[in-house]
Amino acid sequence: MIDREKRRTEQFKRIAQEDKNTIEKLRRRLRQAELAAEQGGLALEQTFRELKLLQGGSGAHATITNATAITPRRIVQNRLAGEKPDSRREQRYFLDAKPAQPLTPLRGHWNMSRVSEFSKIVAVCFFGAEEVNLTEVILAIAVTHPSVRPIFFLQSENNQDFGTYGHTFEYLPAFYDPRNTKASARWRRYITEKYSYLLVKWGVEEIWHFGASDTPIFDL
Amino acid sequence: MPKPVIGLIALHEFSLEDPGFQALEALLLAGAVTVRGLVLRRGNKSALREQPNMSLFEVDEISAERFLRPLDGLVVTDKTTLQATASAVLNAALRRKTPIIGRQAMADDPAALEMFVKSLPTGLGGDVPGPPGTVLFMTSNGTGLGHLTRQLAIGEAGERYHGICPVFITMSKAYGLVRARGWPCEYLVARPHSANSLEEWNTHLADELRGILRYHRPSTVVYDGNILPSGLFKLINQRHDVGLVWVRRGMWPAGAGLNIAKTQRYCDLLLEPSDLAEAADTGVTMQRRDEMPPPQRFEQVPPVTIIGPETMLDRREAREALGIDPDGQSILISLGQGSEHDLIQTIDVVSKSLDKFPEVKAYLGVPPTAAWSPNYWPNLTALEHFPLAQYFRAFDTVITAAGYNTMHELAAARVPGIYIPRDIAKGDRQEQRAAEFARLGFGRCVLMKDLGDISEAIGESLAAQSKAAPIPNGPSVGPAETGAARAARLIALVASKYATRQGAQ
Repeated sequence: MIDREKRRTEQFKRIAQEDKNTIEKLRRRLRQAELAAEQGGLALEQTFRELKLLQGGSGAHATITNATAITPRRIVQNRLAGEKPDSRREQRYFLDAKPAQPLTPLRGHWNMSRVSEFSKIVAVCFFGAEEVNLTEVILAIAVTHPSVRPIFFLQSENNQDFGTYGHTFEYLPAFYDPRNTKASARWRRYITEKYSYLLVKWGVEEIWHFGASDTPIFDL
Repeated sequence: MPKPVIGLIALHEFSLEDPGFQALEALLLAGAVTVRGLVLRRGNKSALREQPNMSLFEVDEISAERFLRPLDGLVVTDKTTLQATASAVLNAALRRKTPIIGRQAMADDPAALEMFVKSLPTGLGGDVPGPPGTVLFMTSNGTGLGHLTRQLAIGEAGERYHGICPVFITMSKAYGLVRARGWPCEYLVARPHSANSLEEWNTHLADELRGILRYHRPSTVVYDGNILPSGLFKLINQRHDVGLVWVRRGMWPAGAGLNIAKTQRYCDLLLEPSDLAEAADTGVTMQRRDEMPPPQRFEQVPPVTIIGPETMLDRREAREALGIDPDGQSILISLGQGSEHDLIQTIDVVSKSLDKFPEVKAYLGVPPTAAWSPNYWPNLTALEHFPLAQYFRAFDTVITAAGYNTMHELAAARVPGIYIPRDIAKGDRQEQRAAEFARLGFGRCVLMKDLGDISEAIGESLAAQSKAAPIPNGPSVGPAETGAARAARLIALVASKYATRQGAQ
C-alpha cells in the first residue's frame, strides 16, 4: 500500500510539475505585459497578445468587452436588428426569461482560496478559436487575474481542461446539425438569444473574447 | 386495442347517482375505458377510489393542462361547469380541442356516452399511429456515460425503426460523442458545476428548457437520470402538448429516491431497462414502479445497450483491428469514470498485478471525458474508442467497474468480466449487481477491499474464459426487438399522440 501511495503521489507531483512548467513558460513570455495586466482593463488584451496564446489563426484576436457598457440584452437587440422572424411563434426563445438571481460558476482549483462570492464574473469566449491552447489560457487567467471567477463559453467538444481545473463552461454549437455545417437563420437567432440568456444566467460583468468572432454565430 | 382515456371532473355538486356517471361507471366496469378523475372534495375521492382503471387527482396536486394531457375525451356529468376550477379545466379543454360530452346529451340518449367513447381517436397501443416528430432525449450528468449511452441507443433505434427525429440535451461533458455520431446536441450545466443550491439551479433549468422547447418543438421529452429535476417536470406540467417519459434503471441503494413515487406521476411513461441482476434488487424503484396512475404506465424492456451482440466485432476481427496476436492472451481494463483519486489508485493496483502475467497483452480503456492521462501506465496500451464494447470480444477478460451498461455489454459479448464495484455512484448498487452477475456465471467479483488479491481472479478468469453463460435474450433477438428498439417503440407511441395534438392546433 505504501508503494501505491508513493506512486500516486509521484503521479500528482508530475501533473503539478507540468502545470508549473507551463506557467513558467508563460511567465517568461509575459515580461512587462504581466505587470500591465495586473492593473486590469484593456491591458489584458495586450497581455494575451504578448503571451501569443492565439497562434496561427489569421483572423484570431483577443478583445475585451465591458458587459456593463454593452449589456447582454443589447447584444441580442443589435444582433436581431433588421432580422425579421419567420412567424410570431419564433419571435422569442429566451428573451422573456426572468432569472431571479444569477447562478455562480465554480471558483476553479487554482485560485480557490482567492476567489470570493464577490469576485467579478467574466465570460471567457472561444468563438471560432479552434487553435487556442485552452490550458494556457486557463492558467494565464489564473496567474494574471487570480480573483476573477470565469465562466467559459466554447463551441468545441474539447472541454477536458475545464474539468481538470475545476471551471464551469457553457457550450454553444455554431450550427444545429453536425451533418450540415451551414447555420440556418432560425438557428442563428436561437443561439444568439441563448448566448444572451446565458450571460444573464451567470451574471456576467465582463466578456473576454478569444478567437475570430465576438458572437457564437459565424460562417464557417 | 387501447382503451380510451376519459376525464371526469367531480367537484362539490358531483353525485355517484348522476346518470352520466353511472353510464361511465358501466363502461369502466366493462373494461372499455380508463378514467382519470379530478376531485375537489375528499369524500368524492374516497368514494371513487374503489373503481378499477381509475386514477384520481385532487385539484391542488395537478394543473389543468397536466390533467388534460393524456385524455382522449372529457365527460361533464353535472353542474361542475359553474365552478371556477371546472371552468378553468373546460376552457383548457376547449383550447386543446379535447372532445367533450355534456350532461344534457347523456340525459337525452342513454347510449350517447358509449357512442361518444367509440368515436374517440386513441393514440396509444398497436402500431405507432402517426409520425412521432422530434423527441428530446435529455440526460443528467451521472458518474460515467451510462445515461447518455442508453439515450443514444434508444434515440438511434427510434430514428431507425419508428421515424423519431432525435435531439439530445445532456449535462454530460461527453456531448461531443453525440455530435460525432451525427446528432444535434446541446449541453446543460449540471448542478454540481455551479456553486448554487438545487432550487436555484432548477429555476434556471426551467428557463433554459423553455427556450429549448420553443426552438426544437418536441412532441415528447425523454429523461434518463436518477432524479427527475423539478425544473423539467414542473415545466412539462404546464404543457398539454409535450409528453414526458422517464427512463430509469433499477438497483438503487437503500434510502435513496424516497420521493420518486411523487415525481413519477408527472410522466406519461416510466421505462425501466431491465437488469440481469434484478433478483438482487431491493431498491425503491422495484417497490414503486407499478404505482403509476392509469393511463400513465410503467413498462420494462430488455437490457438497453448501444451495441448488440450482432454488431460487435467477432474475436478475429476485433483482434485484427487492434493488432493483437490472434493466439495470445489479452486483457482490457475499463474502469470508466468517477473519482479521479480512486480511479488512479485502482488502475495502479490492477496494472501492477498484471506484472505477474508477462505473456498477457494489457489494454486500458480511456473514457472520452477522462481527466487523467493513460501515459502514467506505460505497461498498458491506451484504447480510446466509443463504444468500447465493439472490441470486447478481442479480450480474454475485461476488468471493469460494475456499471449497468458495461456489465450488460460484456454479458452480450459473452466475455468474462472481473467486476470491481465502486461505491462512487450514490444511485447504483454496484456491489449487488457485481455479486449477482458473478452468481449467474458471467464473471468474478473483486471488492475494493480485496483488490490486493486481484491477480488470483485474473488467473482464474483467463483459465476459464470459455465458460461464460449467454444472456437470456441472447443473440437470436433481431435488432428491432432489442431493449433499445422496444423502448423506442413505446416512446414513439407517446410521442405520436402528442405530435398529433400539436398538428391539430
